[in-house]
Amino acid sequence: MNKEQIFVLAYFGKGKIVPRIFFWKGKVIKVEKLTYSWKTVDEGGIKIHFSIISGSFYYHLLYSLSSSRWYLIDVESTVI
Amino acid sequence: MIWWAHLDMDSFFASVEIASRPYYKDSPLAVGGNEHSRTVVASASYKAREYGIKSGMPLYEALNRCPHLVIVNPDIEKYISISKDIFGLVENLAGNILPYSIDECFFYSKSKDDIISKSLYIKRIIKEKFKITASCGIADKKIVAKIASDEKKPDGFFVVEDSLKYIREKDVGDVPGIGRKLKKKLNSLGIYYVKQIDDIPFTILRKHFKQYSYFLKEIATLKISDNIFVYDEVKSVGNTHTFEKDTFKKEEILSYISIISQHMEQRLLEDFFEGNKLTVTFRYSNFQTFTKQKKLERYIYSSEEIFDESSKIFDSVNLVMPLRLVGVSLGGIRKRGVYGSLPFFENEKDCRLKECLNSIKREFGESSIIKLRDLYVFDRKIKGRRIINRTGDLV
Repeated sequence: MNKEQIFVLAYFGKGKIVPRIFFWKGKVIKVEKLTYSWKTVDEGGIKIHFSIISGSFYYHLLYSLSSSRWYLIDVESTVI
Repeated sequence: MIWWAHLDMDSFFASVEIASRPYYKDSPLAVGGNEHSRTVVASASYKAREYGIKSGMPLYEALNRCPHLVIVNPDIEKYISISKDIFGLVENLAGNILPYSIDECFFYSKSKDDIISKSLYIKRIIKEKFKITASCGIADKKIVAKIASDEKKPDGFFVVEDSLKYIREKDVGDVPGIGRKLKKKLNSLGIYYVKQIDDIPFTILRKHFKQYSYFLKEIATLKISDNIFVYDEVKSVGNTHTFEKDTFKKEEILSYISIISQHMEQRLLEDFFEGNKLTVTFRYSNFQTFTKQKKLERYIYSSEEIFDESSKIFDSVNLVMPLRLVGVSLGGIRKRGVYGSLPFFENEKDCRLKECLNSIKREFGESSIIKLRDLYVFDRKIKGRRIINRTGDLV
């Protein structure tokens, strides 16, 4: 999927950014488990990536430090 | 005595993906392109390995072996990021990391107890922080430490007390540097274990293995230098320039790219190299660094081609901050003339011009003759009361 800008309620503090809730397709999605996070750098600056599980879905979220915007990069079902 | 530790992340790419998507924990997983592509498995989880799936295997073959194999597209940026974090951690804890690949590194200590405790601690932190496992081999020889890290994978830890005794009992195929073909040749001579290499007179070894005979003898007697597994061969040729002041100015940035291209050409010509992978590095004023890479359809070495391709890359980048540094490097290096036809320049006129320019530079210095597009740089230096003398040095 193409990256899609979303709204996220996140905790910023103690050198950490922790997404808590985000809004997508009219739904409020609560972050149940933050499984992984990593950092990449491109011409737009530093991006922080988050692997998240909520219900039976996996979400890949991205936060751009330079634009302070959140994006949804990928969604997949956790049901195998 | 120096004690070496070799740290090897277990099925690194697959493990990172499983850490991100823990619901795949019990499934066989491979990192690679999609099943319809002609790509190969980049990394296979230990569950997938139970089906005989391994790195380098074509994906269709992996799917034949395990139809319910989970295939995850590779995310190289993610693996590089995690690798950098892990190596940073090792550097902080051990103080002397020697990275060997994206998922392997060496570190050393003068004390065996020290390296054992550091290795165990590093393994534990990697597991806690990155949710992946690493295997570690420890020995008083670098090559033995590398072999030992494979001993108890995954999450292995193995200390070799007597390196010579250990390596002599090893299958020749277990030794790094002995590939499939060499192993087959050794086997055909009845050599299956390292210790058997010693039974063969050196003249026979020399006859069959030529320059490799020295390496084989060194392995069998363990008189091999620890200065191995070091990337010292030329993989790329490049240079960077840090601007005196951070800049947004296109003409200034391009001027420096041009100068870097000319330096690169000198080096490429001297060593008869050409390359086909061009990378332009940008560093913003806040030290954020990113690169743009382009695989070229042909091999290049001339400054004009390097500059043209680098400019195209530069034009495709939308800078959001002033640049502190710009760099260009040419990878995919190979010896020129071996693969293509000589002479170096297709156009004889170009060839003569190039030779003439290079002889002027050799005689009077690098800056004695410049291209018009580089004038920006030199003009600034002259205006800044830095005068170029006859030999081209700034005074």
